[in-house]
Amino acid sequence: MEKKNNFMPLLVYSIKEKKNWVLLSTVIIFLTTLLIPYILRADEEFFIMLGIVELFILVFINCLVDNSFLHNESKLTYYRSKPVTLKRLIIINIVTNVVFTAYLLALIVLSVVFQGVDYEILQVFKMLIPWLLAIILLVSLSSILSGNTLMAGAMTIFNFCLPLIILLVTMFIFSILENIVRGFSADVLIDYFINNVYKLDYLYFTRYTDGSIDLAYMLLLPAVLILISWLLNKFIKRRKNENTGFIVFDGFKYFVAVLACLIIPASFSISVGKYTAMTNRIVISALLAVLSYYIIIAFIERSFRISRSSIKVFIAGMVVFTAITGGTVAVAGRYENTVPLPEDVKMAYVGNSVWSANSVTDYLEGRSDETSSFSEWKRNRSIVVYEEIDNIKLITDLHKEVLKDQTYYLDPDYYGMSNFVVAYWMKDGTILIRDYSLTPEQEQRPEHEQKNEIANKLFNSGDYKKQKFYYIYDEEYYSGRSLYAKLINLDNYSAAVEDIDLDNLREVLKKDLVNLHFEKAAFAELLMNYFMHGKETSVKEQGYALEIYEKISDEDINYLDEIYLNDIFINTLEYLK
Amino acid sequence: MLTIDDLSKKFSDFQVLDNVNINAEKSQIYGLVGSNGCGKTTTLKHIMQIYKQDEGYIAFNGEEVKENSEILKDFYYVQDTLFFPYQYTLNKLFNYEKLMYNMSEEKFEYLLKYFNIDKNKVLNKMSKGQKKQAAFVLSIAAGPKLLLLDEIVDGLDAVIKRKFWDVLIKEVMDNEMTVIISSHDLKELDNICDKVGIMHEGRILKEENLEKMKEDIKRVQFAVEGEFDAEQLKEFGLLQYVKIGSVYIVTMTGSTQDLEKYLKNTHTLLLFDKLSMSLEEIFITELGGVGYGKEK
Repeated sequence: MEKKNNFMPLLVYSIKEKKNWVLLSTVIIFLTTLLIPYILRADEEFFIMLGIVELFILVFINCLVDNSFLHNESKLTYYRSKPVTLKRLIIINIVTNVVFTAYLLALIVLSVVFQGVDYEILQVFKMLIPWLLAIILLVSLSSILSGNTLMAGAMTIFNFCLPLIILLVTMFIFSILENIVRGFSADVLIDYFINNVYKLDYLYFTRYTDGSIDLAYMLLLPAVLILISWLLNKFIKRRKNENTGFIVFDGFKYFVAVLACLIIPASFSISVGKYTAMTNRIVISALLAVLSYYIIIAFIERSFRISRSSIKVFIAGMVVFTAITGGTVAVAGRYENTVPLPEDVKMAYVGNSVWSANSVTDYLEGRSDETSSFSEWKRNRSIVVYEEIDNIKLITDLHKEVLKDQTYYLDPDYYGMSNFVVAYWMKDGTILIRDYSLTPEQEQRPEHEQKNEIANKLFNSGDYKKQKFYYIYDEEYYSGRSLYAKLINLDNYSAAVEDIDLDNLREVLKKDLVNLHFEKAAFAELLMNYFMHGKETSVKEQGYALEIYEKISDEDINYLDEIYLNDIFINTLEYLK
Repeated sequence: MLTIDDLSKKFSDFQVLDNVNINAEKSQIYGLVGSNGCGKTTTLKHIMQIYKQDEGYIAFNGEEVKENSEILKDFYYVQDTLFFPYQYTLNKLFNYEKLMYNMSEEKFEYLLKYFNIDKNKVLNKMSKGQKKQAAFVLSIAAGPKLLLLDEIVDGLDAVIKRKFWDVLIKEVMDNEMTVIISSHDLKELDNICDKVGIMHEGRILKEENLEKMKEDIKRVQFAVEGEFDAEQLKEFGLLQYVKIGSVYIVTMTGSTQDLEKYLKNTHTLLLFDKLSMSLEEIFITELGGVGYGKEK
């Protein structure tokens, strides 16, 4: 009585059954990407992007509706009693939705053509198509895993965001690590993790929206789709259709609950940063994890009574999490006191900004979009990087001093930063970045003296002056430019003297900067990123600032720097009077 | 022939099926009867492999029934809680099922007339009885070798029920179809089943040809002069007895001739009649034997 192979007829039938959705979608896409922008004479690109968002919603809903038969007993019994395997039913749904999605994408392309929008917008398809394919498969997978269509939708989002959730949990581990192991920064670690280990931009194909398709794309896309399909096949075979509840598989239920219960404490721990006491953070995080787990399990199991097995899984999950965190801390602890040999270091940074150190790495490793030279790039960001061996030695010495003692002298009248960030770009290509939280003290001790002495030496180094005061010391920069200065009266911010040719002022400024000495405030100045903040009171006494700018034309002026004329600039002030 | 050996199933910690054994012959109408929630539907869903058994063996015509096995294409299941796709007419559903079965157009058209069903009416707008008829028409048009009907006549009027049985008997006779019917309507099954399986709490208490079952379980009424101790009936396979006035009504498995002889020898027998038993009475007797319906 039976037909042997009914796949193709059923597929064609299923596609034909989509006609109402096709009509509705055509109207929606046509209205929002063509008609409304035409009537409004509005930004077409915005409406094309809106159309893409609608496409996502339509595909998502369609997939959920098509797989909803899994979540209704009589529907499931009807379809499962037919001579079509569950696997084949799911494949038919997937193929039907792929065809439907292709149709919607074609509609968007047509809208772009009719609107005359720049075809560059279609670059987003390189990310969009993998996302849509992944969503079609993930909805099927989540529907198999879930016992309820709404839960299937939620689980699709969970599964799609799973790599991001894993990243959040990793950040949580790093945030704990930075509190335990001195000098380690969660920001640095996560930056390194994302750039070198856990390349989410590849996984989510975001890097291809403005780049060309490469071999990695060609390999990764089928790999991701095969992985989801493999999981789908596994779970189709294992699905027990008699199970009801929000999530059908106990293993997956606990996997979701354990991971999800870490999201809230992770977010809390990351948001409060390392300035909250470690014990408090751990206690609050643990309480939040327990509460989140209870709420999630109570919701999934639809019971306020938590089962023994749920408690066991939670304990096991937390043991695994603690073991991973402990292992990471133990490994990192071995490098806690590492200071490299100066001769192995190619470049070094010292200051208060992890962001600066990370962006130098991004530039050096080609992750920055900048096309400018390294010198110009540093100038634009006011970042000083030391390359002379003597200065690198000074930085390693300063690093050792900080390892010995995590305090520094800060004048009570001054506002100070407490982050000491040191970064080394090694000759072998490795990078070492440390971030220490120091405690300011209002009484100078011998430990502070050494730090101040080294800081003063760095201020007087060629590396520093050439980068900080490049418009004075960098001959290459200086030659051929029209550089000027403007004397600003700080009482009313009016210009006291305008258009002072820097040619005239340069030598006087050099005379003042020849011995840049901040005395006991030097280390604090270093932490302030060399803003000369420590001399604020003397600035007020003098009452002037010097604005340096380049005159590209009469209309086009490029401001370079502002020097507050404190008591260091005696010669300059004298000259300007 | 459908064979089920030691089929067991647990839903979480609840034992739904406990070593269920069923043997339904070719061209046989098998009645699966049992108390509410005893596992009839679950058994049928296991035959269709909608549910996966924890233990046990299911075979049809000697071939093991497994998920995805080809043999399932010869089965057709009409469930108790009917489902029809949204906005489908019977004609549209027939065309859909045609993609999966070799549906007989001729039989379909004949049955539509026989049951007087409008094939172009949206199924979900039909009455409960009409839906049952529609589902039944499709199942017969599909011409399966094994037809599973779950509470198919529930809610139907007597005329339609009769029509159902007529069609079913004809199909069994013409096409050697095996039919498993689960039903609460024991009076209906009494007239149609060849064999019956009585289920209770996930177990088959008794499985027998209906005629044999009726032969095995007998009911007599008698009256004797003077006092009578019912304990004496135990040796005759006493299942249950009631005393109404001076008349004893006894359900038993032993020989009625032997009982009559015994009573004549030991008492002055005033009355002795053999009574016929319906399937319903057998069912109540069997379940009464395991305490069902005897709760105080």
